[in-house]
Amino acid sequence: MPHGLGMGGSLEKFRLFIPDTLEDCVAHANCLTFESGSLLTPSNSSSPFDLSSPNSGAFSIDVLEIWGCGGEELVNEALTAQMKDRGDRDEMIRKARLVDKAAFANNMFDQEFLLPKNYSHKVRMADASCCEEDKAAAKATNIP
Amino acid sequence: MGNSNSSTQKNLEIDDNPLNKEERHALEAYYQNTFLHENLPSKEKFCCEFASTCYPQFGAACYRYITGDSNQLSFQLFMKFVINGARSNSTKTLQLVWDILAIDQKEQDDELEQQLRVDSFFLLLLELSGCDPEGIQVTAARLGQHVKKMTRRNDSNSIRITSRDLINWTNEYAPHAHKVFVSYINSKCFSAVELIGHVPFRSPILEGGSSVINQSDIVPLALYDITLQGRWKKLYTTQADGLSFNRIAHHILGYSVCLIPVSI
Repeated sequence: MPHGLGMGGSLEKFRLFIPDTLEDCVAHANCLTFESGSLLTPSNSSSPFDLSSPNSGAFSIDVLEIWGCGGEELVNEALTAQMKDRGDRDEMIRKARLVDKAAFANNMFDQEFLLPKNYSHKVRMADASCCEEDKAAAKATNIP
Repeated sequence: MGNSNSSTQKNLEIDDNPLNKEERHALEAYYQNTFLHENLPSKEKFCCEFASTCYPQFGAACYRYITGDSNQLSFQLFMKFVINGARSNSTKTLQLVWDILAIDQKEQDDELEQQLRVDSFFLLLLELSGCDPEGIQVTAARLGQHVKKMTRRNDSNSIRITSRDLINWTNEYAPHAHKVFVSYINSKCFSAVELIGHVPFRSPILEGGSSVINQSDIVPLALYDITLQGRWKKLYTTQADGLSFNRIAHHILGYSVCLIPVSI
């Protein structure tokens, strides 16, 4: 999927597409989502809404504005939702930055493979106890 | 008002009058306070009340349309005008405006006059929808050209634009156009009453201003979709936030209602 802001049409061919590089933006005159008509201003017109002649293809951005609509109530609701969304994302980032050391201490795999030096004494202790058990078992088998 | 008042009261008792009691009282109070001078309706006051910057003859044309040959305004005639304009369906409202604009042009009803009438219609529409009269000529002319283009697309033999063509066009491209006129009449005549069930046309407002578009550019969009009326909130602009996709994403993510990108 291309990276950027696309509106109308399909994933392969958006009616209006602004790539994440903000270069080589594309506007087509028709698609299956919206009614046909040029989205680009003729070069000899001063108004962005002068759609008198069909015009489509690549364009470059000089000034870009994005407006939120929907009426007074919906705009306020959307802005509140946007603030909440930003808060949620910030919280996720904050959580992702935190290291849960307790989880490391309780997970044998992490101890052995991610932090082998920190937990090498545990491995040595485990090996030593295994040896003790083996010796004890051998001693027991030698007893007539 | 004497005798004329009592006859008015009698005429108000009509079965199909869509005005309720409160609205009738409000309309009568407005009529008396605005148009009656020494118990006589004043043509000058009427023309002044319904004056338009872009279409200066609008008040006089309304007066001529309402009074006809008698040239005498009465409450009954005025109420009929208000009911036709603000309490009828969209077709009747738009037809009323078209007929008023035709008042001065009846004798020379050729193609040029039809085009002028269409242009006047849009000038009036844009002005009443709250646009600054200074900069609406270009948008009005462009909308007129679009009507002509669409009419010819549907019927290649059509030379003149009729009221039917204009109404068909508004049904398809500006279904809220009639609300502009309804809201205008309501705001004049019923400002003292709470109108239940009436959703007025709300002019789109570019909050914070724009360097790319102006209000007359976006009113045609608001005539098409009710969600494009009212406040427009500027979420992102390259001039204030910088030309970067990261900044764009930051300012629009989470805003899930309706976005309009415009660029030059």
